[in-house]
Amino acid sequence: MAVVVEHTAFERALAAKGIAHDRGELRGYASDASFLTLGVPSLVAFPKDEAECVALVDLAVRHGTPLVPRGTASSTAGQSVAPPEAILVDMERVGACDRRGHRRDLFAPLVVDAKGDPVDLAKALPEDELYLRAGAGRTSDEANRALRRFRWSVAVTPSSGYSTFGGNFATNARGSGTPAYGAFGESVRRVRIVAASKEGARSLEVADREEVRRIAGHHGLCGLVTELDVRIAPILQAQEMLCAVLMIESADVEALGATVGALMKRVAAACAYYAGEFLFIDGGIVRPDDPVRKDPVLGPYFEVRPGVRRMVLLYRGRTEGMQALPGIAAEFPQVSYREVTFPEFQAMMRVRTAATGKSVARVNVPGCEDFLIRDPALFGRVLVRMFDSLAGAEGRPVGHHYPDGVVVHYRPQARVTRASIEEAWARNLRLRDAVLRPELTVEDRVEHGLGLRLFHDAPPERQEELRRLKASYDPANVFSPHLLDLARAGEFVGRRFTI
Amino acid sequence: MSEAASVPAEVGGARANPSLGVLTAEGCIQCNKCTFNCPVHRVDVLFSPRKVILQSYLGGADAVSERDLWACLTCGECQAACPTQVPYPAFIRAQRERLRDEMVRAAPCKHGGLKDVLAQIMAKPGLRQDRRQWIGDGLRVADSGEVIYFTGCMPYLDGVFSYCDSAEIGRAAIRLMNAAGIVPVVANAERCCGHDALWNGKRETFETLARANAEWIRGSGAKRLVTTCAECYSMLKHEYPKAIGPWEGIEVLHMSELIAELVKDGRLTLSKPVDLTVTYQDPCRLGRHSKEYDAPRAVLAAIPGVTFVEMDRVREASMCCGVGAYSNCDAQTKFLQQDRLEEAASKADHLVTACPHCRIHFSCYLDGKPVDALPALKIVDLTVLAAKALG
Repeated sequence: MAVVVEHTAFERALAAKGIAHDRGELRGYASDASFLTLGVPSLVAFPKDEAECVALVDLAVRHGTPLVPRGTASSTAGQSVAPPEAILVDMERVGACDRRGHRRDLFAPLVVDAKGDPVDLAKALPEDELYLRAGAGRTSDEANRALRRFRWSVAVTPSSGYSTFGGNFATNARGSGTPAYGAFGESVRRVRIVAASKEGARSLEVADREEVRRIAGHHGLCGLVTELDVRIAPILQAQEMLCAVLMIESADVEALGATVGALMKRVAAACAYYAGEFLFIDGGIVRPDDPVRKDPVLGPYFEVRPGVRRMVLLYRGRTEGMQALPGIAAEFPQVSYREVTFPEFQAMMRVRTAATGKSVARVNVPGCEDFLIRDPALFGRVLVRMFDSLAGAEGRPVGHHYPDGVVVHYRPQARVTRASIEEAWARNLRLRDAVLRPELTVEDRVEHGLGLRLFHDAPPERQEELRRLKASYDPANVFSPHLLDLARAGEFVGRRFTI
Repeated sequence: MSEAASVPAEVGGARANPSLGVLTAEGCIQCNKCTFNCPVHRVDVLFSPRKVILQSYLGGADAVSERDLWACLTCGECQAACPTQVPYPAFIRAQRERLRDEMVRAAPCKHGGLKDVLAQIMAKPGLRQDRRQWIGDGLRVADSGEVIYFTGCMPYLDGVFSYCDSAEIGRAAIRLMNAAGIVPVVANAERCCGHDALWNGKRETFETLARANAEWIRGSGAKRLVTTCAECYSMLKHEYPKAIGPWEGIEVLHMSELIAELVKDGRLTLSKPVDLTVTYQDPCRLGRHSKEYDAPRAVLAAIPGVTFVEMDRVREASMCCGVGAYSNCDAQTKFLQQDRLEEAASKADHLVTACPHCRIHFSCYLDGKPVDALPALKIVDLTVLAAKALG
């Protein structure tokens, strides 16, 4: 079963340079959160800083050994799984370690302005354009903890607060944070990247805004990102914001989706919102003993009548930018509207965030769950196809309402058995066939969607752009070369489960 | 691939390995949040709960290295962060129990070996102890009554951890209870609660101890069982009912809960100012394992003169003191303790905790040679601090 590739010389070289690595029992590195696998990697390296990344890339070019960078968190599409001939490079420690090489999650933030000059955050004004200069192994949770005392936070908060900035950039993630700032790549002003030449490693600083945006979403093809300048924004105080919960329910999913799509169009045109989220409520979305069910304001949202689909939308934004929202909601008599406190909004957001991955005694089986609907008017048609595909299955669609469209996530949930996981995976593929159609949705440069299917599913212009970037940053073709191989498909790790 | 695919799904797996059943009861989604929140992972990048779980799902549970099995602090940071609440500490506990006899490792760390022996002695029938020697004059205890003070191994600790004066905690608890008109039972029949035995894979020892303790506690007629130890609390409150059945009519309280209640009800007045700036360490067994975060903070708020400053990593995100159930204490432990104590020292000059073992582990670190210089920092037990405020 296992393909073992000896990397003895490489390993010796890593040891000589003091770069942490593992060549022991590596079955636990066979997959990322996608449950996709290309086999068990033969070696895993854990560089701690740019110097070690340079040494690693030098070695890779010299040995002709592929490197597959991995951040931390979900990587739900297989882009960070490594085939046995490659070395998996865990980037989680890069720029986040103390002098001993231990990861420290508390750190003092270095903030710079748009020119890259250091700024005293305590003296900054809310309208200042500021960036946190951070190692690729840092996360928004850590960054927000460091920035909180100054009342600032990372501008674009990806779905996973514990995902590393380098990974957010490589996947061009965006999440439930601040749609006003776009995807993660749009919030980055400058990156340092260890790229390759045919002779060895090259440390590059990319400060051109357009180039930064082009390489955002490179999925590890261009090199090892080591440092980023990440846009930060002032934290809104509770009294400055409007938080609202909108609800609609119907047995007719297409009509429900069409109504919501129309409402979303109006909201996108008339409101400046910092968070726009939606979720379908079902019996399994929170545990029976979850306190939210007993909350006098929020509890009723979880009482769903049989035979209907209930959808909840959550919007939050600065009060002056949200003044049109109550009026828009009133235009849709099917939609109930309620303003809630920020803590209540946060409680609903916790449900929303967990909704893709939380169900008692189940795993979710991701892989192709991001569908971007550019025209919300198509929302109803997409939902019909989704619910048809997941008939009889557990889990529910959730997603984001961004100004440029609606992103829908759905991960089939499975019991932790081989058969159940395989069934969920098959459903995933059916769902993909049903929904990922040019006339309905695109699977674009977002965090969950492409991975191993990067070159199968990306629009041709993006494929072309990635090939050009690859040739420019990695002429030695050492970074994730398997992603360019159209014939190579990942296996599904569930087939190997012995549970 | 083809070999694996031909293996029937039912072969091996959770039924053959009950530890695996612990993992599969809540499915892991491989998001890696556990690993990212794991304190051990910060100092040992090869240690990864996510990795171990996938390896286990792939049929390699028993190939988990002894290092991985024992390095886990069972602090529960992983489970607290997990979106599906995979009970990784319970899995580790079950694996330690399952593989105990096959492992090369014979005992936990140095002091853990001592506690291991102590637990085994206490599990013997016919044991005779004098558990009141440490109490001293002026404090009132009883042979029977409504409130039992379960002291835990505290009276024995000072023989080893001489720099800690753990008995001070017990004396402070009795002073506080006496001040509120409570004369607690301190019983010679008390045995070790079995915490370390349970977490280090010796369920039989734990159950023997639990039965012995349950017998005298149930026979005492007491209505409340109070302890100053977070580990004893987690055993008495959560694990004993699973092992020996529910406590009928007996309420288990941590001392912080009792103090908070007495203050709130006006039965205890903390009036003497204690002019200190303090921060608070949430013990794993009281916090993440038992979800008691508020009572200790209420006690701190009730002590006049105390300036309380929270650390950055608190409550569910609190960082472990570095040692869990004495199963591990090595160089990496010291780096973790340095990290946590640096954080504490950046906030206050006194670190308060509500677990004698957190106090011992931190004090042990400070008593030795810290990895890096630390500002002056004292480790103080919450009960002792509260007793200082008695008029």
